[in-house]
Amino acid sequence: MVSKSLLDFRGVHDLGGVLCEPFAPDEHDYEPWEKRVHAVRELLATKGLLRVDELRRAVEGLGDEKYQRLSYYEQWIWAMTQIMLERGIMTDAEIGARVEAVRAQLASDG
Amino acid sequence: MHDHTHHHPHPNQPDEEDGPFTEYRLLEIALRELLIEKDVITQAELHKTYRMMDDRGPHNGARMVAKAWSDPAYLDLMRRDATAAAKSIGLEPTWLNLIALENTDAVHNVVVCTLCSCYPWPLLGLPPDWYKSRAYRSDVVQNPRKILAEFGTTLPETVEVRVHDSSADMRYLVVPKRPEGTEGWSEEELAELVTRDSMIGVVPALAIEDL
Amino acid sequence: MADPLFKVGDMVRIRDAYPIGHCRTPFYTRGLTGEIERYCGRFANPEELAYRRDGQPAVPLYRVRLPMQKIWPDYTGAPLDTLEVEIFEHWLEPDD
Repeated sequence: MVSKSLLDFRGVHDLGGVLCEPFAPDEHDYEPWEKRVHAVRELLATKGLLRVDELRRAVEGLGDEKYQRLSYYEQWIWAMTQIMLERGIMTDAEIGARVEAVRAQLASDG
Repeated sequence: MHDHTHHHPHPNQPDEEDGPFTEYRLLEIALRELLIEKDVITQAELHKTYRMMDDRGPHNGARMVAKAWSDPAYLDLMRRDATAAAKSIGLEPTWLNLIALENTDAVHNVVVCTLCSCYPWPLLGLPPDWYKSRAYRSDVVQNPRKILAEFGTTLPETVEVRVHDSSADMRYLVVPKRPEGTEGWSEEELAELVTRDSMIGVVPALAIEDL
Repeated sequence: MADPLFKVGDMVRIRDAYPIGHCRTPFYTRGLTGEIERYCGRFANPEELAYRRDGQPAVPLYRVRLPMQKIWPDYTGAPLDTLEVEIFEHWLEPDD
């Protein structure tokens, strides 16, 4: 039996045997945006710009609350963006500005 | 599709099926646009990747299983080197390090990834939500028979339930037992009986009367 | 490169270690004893790859078979039920 303090070293993602909500065999059809996240991740991996291990490490860094609340591809897009920042492929200012431009465009599209 | 007139192109697939624009969806658009603008990735490469993803699905794994049921030499190859078995029938092999897990009268295999959601995409497509859920990942390693029962699968105590935690670089394809009464069926006919969930190991292959 | 340390059938103990960084040894398997089911080949070390290093030299990877009743003392399934998990060599020690 491990002592309680060691549980601090258990990652949020490391779920084997952890008490969770009851199982339900649910599924949904993947939304186009989810498939796009998946495709961009694969492409970046193919180009050597995103190791799956880096992505996992970034997902594991989300923290308990967010790891539980975010959907799978929400976790991925968050983690992918973190890795692009770490690698210097883009800046946070560029991302922030682009998110606002997209938001404004969508608003004007109605 | 909207007519986008602002200076940067929106390389969107049709997005009418998507739900509301959450912050994460905005981030998806922003990140993708920036990657394209910076020539890190191209639109053409993305479309090629979408097409590759569309070619994936349980029909690929089902072909392998049906062939293994029909062809002893192929089953032997699956046992020795399942990645080679996938390549030998022209399936997208790329990064896959595949292990085939044969269900028998003595052993029933079921697959999970407790640490994330490792899954043989090229052979089964993208996984169902339940496979990625916290509840499945936490519970199937501790109470596999309870989870199998949720899928209607109950096994006698004399059958060993063998759970496979896909924790590192290997990926797994369960080869369900061949349904009774299918002697003489073609590989194409047999493949119709092989479902995604039977290749994850939570249910058997379809019985003839299920068709 | 040195040969893999373990062969099929060897009894091994998964290290009872609790590193702070990224790793692929599930928490519930740590400190347990099991049997080498197969050798999977060598793979770059994920504990290095996660931090953008090259993960070389590649590490032998094995599958370890554990009886369910050893993992979960109050296991309610059948006594012969098992679990197999992939464990890197630096997480294994001989169980003498």
